[in-house]
Amino acid sequence: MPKVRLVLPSILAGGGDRVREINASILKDIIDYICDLKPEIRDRLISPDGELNRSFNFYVNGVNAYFLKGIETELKDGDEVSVIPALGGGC
Amino acid sequence: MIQYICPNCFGALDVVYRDLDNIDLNPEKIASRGRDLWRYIELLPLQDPRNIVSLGAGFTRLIKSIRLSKKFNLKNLYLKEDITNPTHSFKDRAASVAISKALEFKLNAVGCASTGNLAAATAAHAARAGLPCYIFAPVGVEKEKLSHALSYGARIVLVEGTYDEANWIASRFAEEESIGIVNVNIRPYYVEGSKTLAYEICEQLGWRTPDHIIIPMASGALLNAIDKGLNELKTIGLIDGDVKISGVQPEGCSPIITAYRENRDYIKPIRNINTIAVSLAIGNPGDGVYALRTIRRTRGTAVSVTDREIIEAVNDLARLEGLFIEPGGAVTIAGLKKIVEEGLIDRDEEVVCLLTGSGLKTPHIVHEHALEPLIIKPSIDELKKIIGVEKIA
Repeated sequence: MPKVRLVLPSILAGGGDRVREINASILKDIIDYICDLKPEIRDRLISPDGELNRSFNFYVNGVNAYFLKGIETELKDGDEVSVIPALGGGC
Repeated sequence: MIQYICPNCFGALDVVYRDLDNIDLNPEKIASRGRDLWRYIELLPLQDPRNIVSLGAGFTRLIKSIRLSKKFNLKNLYLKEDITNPTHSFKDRAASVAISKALEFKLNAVGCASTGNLAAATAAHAARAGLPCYIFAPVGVEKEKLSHALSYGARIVLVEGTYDEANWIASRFAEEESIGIVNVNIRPYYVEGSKTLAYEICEQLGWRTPDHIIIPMASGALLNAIDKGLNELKTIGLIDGDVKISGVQPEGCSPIITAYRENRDYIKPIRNINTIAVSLAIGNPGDGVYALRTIRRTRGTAVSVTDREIIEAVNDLARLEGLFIEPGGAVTIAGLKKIVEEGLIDRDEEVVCLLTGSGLKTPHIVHEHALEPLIIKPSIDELKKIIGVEKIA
């Protein structure tokens, strides 16, 4: 399984390291990893129909995974996945 | 580390004021104060007024329309001309409160992700506060707006991609450095500045509410801020009555409108953006879900408008009312026209349209869509040949 760099926001890191190396083939593996850390968060990450929920945005090497293949986005060795809360006030 | 996300639901945090219904605030007290947004200081999230960073934003004109009203056959149309703020957009309100709060948090630097207007507003207030400022913007942002921010000494980082990528970089930066990104980790305070538009509208109408407010939407944050402001005034007892709140987006970037039309309660982000209203070009709107709820709860509506309709609105505002407004602000007039045509506004309804940014920020729109200047030799005969005295007599 590819080894990827996961960058968590502090609210999900729970006082632990924000940057972690984990094994993941697709984005869903990352989501499962986060849900193991915080089981109560699953419905904030995945919608009932299995899509990415919009409470958090996932970026694979700087590209929003929503515009890739969502939770099925494939990952390879050395990829960086960063998670940020879905915020950003414009107008 | 500033807490800006709810640890339970992971949604954005908002400021809530304790004992709002017992607050000692009345119209006379407010009227006796300075004519800027800090006249509502009891309703702004600052512990110590010595931290206020102000360039005088707020208390802009609420103009009763004469000629646009006639065009739309409305009796009571008001224009909230929020372009006389220090950097000529409503973003000065948000920046003033957010940078004040950054001083209170003793942050080392500030910044923002911006589609243009927030860049100048944040940079100007950062300069006033003596804080370094970092601006993250997509490469397509209008160069006039960047020049404005650059003049205040801000460091500008253009991110290849859309606002979504610029916002992502800004959010990462906020997590890793002791910096206040005004629309990310100081967002709860930033939106408090925007809500003062609602206070002013009610105060300028003699402490009563209009029937309907029409608001431009990018992320949807302003629309929710207006709703919050109205609800706070109601709780205090300064106003009563219900206000319909409607939102307008440009057709080339309208994910909130699409969700409204499809009766969805979630937003599908978009990546292919094409609009002259660049300041509204946010394809992944962070407050979109909340904006949808507000529009539905207040029985407002949501419409999108084409670039052509926006240009018509820019021209109407200039030629019928003498107001030079940028496309991102003029969308409310284009939207009003559509709402009137759809029969969703009663002729007697009191309507307020927000005009959120100056046309001086987007002069290229005029050059591209207005008549070319006439060039003549210094000869009155040549002038008369071209214009003709009878036309101006």
